[in-house]
Amino acid sequence: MWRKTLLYTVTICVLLLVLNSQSVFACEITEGNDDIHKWTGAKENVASIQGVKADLGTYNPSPVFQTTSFWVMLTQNEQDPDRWAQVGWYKAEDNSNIYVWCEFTDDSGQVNDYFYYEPGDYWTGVPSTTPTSSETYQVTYSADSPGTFYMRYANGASNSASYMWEPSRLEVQGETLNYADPDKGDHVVGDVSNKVHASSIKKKLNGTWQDASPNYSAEGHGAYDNNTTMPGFRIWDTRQCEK
Amino acid sequence: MKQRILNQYHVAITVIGITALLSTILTGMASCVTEKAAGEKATVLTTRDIGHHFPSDKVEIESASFQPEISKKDALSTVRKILRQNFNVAHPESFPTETTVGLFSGETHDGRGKVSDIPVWIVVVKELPSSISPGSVPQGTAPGSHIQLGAPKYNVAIDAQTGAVVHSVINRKIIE
Repeated sequence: MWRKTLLYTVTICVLLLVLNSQSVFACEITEGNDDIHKWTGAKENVASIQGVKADLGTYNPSPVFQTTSFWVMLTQNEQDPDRWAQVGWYKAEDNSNIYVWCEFTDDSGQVNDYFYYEPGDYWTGVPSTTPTSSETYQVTYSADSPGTFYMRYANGASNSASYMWEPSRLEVQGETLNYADPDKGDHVVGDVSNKVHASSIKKKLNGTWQDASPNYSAEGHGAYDNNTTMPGFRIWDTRQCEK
Repeated sequence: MKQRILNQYHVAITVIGITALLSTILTGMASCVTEKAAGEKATVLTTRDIGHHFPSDKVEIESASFQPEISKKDALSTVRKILRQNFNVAHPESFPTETTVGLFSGETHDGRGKVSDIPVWIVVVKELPSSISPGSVPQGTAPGSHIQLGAPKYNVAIDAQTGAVVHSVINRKIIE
């Protein structure tokens, strides 16, 4: 009798172990070997563009690898542009917080990062403000010599930067930075249960804000749709698995 | 009797001599200590290039020589505390770090607005983990194309008289 009991117990334990391990494996994303950056979102080439803005939703599960961000940007209409000014939110793998940040290149080819500090309404080099669920992010450009970019979150103060390049393209993208050495991770922003939404995408031309007419694209396991209930688009990783 | 007096005279001279010698040695040592202490306090530092980078339209750093009120140790402590608490960098002291001094002009992060010629400590922590910066780049026009960025560097200017963080920025070099 005791032998049968022991056999049943061992069998049940083995079954539980197998089921448990299967559920763990089912939630793992296979390591990728693609580019370390993954984008899903919208872009439009616009000569003499003076601004871009959109209402961006916040998404806050743990990103799978390195960093996850969602942003609006003015950049150049060329292959691998090396000048840009942007504002959005970002989250790092090893930090439970999510921050509002802006980034711009300067004329020396350096990329500079600042973070929005809400109580004092200014931009600083120390991470601070957590974004609300949906807010307006905006970059505008004032042509001059040099021209000035203004990066703004909600109704707060702008962070300005004056440099010698002119924008000719807008982008509104969800972006992930995965590991490059060794290649690891090909996650894109969002998941099936938490699609990330961008709405009211506008471009500024001749001093007037108007609806943007961007092209959409999704890389790797990314997907998008054009939400009909709220104008704009939603993006997600089709695998619905988080780390 | 005469010999006894002579002996006492010799003893007295010897004692005076030894006392004088000891006095001279002790005075000399004290003098050295005092000079050294004064020298430490009066250390004047001069700006050197440590690879710091602040956006040129926001900050200008001019070379200068001065004696900071805040110690280098305190300046480093401030920066490492920020990296630990705000960026989740577990061991900031393990990353290559350089310090120098300079005169800061430009935008401040401590509510003072724009300032001119403030003596600052400049601290640069290099080769930090990529996750302290979004490392964001434009998508490019061809699928999968992109440019690469170097490792993040944290540049901090600290008021050399009060210890307040005057300006800080993370930057990364574009690798074409």
